[in-house]
Amino acid sequence: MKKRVLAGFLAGTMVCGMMFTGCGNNSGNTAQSEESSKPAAGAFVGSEDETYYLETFLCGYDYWTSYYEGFMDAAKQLGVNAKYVGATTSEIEDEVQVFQQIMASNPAGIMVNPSDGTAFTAVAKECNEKKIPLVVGESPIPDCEVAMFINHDEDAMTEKAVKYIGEAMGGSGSIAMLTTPGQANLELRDKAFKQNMEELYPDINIVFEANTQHDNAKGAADVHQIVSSYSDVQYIFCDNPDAAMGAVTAKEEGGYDVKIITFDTNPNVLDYIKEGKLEAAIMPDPYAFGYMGMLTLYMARHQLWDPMWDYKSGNRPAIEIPLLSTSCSVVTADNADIFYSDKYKEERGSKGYDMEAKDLP
Amino acid sequence: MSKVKKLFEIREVTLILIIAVLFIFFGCNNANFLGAANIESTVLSVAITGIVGVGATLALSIGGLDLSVGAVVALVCAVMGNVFLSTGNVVLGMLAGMAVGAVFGVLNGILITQFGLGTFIATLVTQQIARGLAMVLTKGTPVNLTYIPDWAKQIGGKLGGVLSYIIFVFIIVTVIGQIMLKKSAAVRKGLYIGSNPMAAHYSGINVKKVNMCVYITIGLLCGLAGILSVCRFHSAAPNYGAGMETELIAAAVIGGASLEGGNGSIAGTAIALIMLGFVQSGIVLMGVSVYWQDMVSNIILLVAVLLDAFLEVRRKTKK
Repeated sequence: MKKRVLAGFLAGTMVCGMMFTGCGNNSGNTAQSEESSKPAAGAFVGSEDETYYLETFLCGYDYWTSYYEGFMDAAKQLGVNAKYVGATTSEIEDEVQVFQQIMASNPAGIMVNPSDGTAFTAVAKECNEKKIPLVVGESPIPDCEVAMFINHDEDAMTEKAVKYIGEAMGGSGSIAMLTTPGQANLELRDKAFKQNMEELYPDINIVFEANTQHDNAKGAADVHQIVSSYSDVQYIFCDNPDAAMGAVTAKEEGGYDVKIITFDTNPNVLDYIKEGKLEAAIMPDPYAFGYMGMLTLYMARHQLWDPMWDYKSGNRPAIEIPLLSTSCSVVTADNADIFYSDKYKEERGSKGYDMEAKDLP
Repeated sequence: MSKVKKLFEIREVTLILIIAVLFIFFGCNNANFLGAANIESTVLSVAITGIVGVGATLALSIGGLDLSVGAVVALVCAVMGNVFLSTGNVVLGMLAGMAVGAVFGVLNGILITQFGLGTFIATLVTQQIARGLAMVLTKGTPVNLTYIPDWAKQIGGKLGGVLSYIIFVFIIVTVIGQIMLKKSAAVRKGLYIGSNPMAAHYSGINVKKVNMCVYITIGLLCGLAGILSVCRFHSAAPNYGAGMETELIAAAVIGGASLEGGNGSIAGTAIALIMLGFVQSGIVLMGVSVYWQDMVSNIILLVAVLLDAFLEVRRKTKK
């Protein structure tokens, strides 16, 4: 009798225990599902109805090719759409006008690369008011809400150029620069180059700077004048590839014994590097810009971030990456083949700027 | 003495005098300014623009102007480049480039003579069209033409290793243009039109035909300039020639052309362009700060123009 009572008691206890455990689990599951208004699995699956825009200045420039490819890749992987637009010049009025046109198209987000971010503050604030996520590259836009600023580190990149020149020249001698005053991002580059040269190789003198802009004819004329005046110039640093093309023309015409190094590449520059007419180019990684930019825009759009700070009270945005810096390559005759944008697009089956992300194979 | 005085009454001589003054000024700052290498490179830097300048002077002479020249040159480069890359035939590319130049000349001519548009607005519109087309064809980035045949690259090089082919062509075109402006009855009709279109019409000159011929000539000169540019730079840049038209108008006026028409000197335009080139090169050789270069070169240009104007007033007063 006692054994039956004990067995019954134990069985009952077990059943009750299982019941309570099950309820507890169910309660726990309910609690979790109530908390699942936050994005969970499937958060990175978007809709092709969402269109994100990449805007640049000097649109069509070879530099932006892999930039947009990265932007499209991320968009494709996220299942959203992306388009490329831009100003054909580096004139800030043109860039602002294009930006306003994009805003009027009801975009899901905009990644913009201004040549001078300070002139963009007003339109960027307008973008903030419309709650359009914004990511910026090239030149920061002050006094507005930006999910991320992404840029190559001008200091690190120009340091590579400076070290290349310094080591080749044995730490002393004369060089000249072809610059683009008035274009903010290139002014930063030129300033960083000069600072690095002063710090790392104080015995290398920058004997002259010419205001060449993106004009290969002016670049050729300037190099003729520079070499006429400063025959001991060993290197010419160009802050953009158009000036470098002009510099190479002058070098060939005059038969000058001077080396040329530039930033960014295009097919002409790559051919010149392979032919030994141009010494090297410093090329940042634009693909990373586009890819990370698109990712950040998506996260900002879908409010995927829930950081432990006071963004809910409106004091700051949920996503704020003040600077994401990317690396760069030194392009020489040994590796120039990798940097041809047409070959790159062909391998990817991409039509480049004319393509939207949803059509990428 | 009177012969010397008469010599200095010639506009071109005055400009050469100003260049001599520039030589002294810049030469004192940097002896390299006076060197043959600098002189040659300076003339080379303006030669392609100077070829187009022949046309720009003609346009001003007939009382018009052409704002599309820079854009048309860029388009010629783009067309030549694309045709070469598609067919592998650079001669075909050159012909296509010349054809495009001629087409835009015809277009300008039609807009001005048949539709009666003012030269400013007509050529401003064609400028935008040409620049836009250049952008489309180049896709916004310089077209790589490093694979043009060596003989084409030679055109961008030196004749006999001494004188640049481009400078040679510039001189030939300028001399022919100047001779025709002074001696050719057909070309002088343009000056009569520029002086007084109504009187020219009533004296039997076919004003529309002459205008059309002038703009087609300008188009062909743009074609030639574009071809030479490709041969020199081995690329076709969408922004090539930006600002060329205003530079040429300034040079033509300094060289003796009137904005009201009826007057012009192709040699004067060429010399004025060379003078502008020397001002630019002098600035570089002086080591002027990169932020000051544009301002300083234009101040020097202003001084040169004022000196020229002063001498002109003196000449007129003495008469």
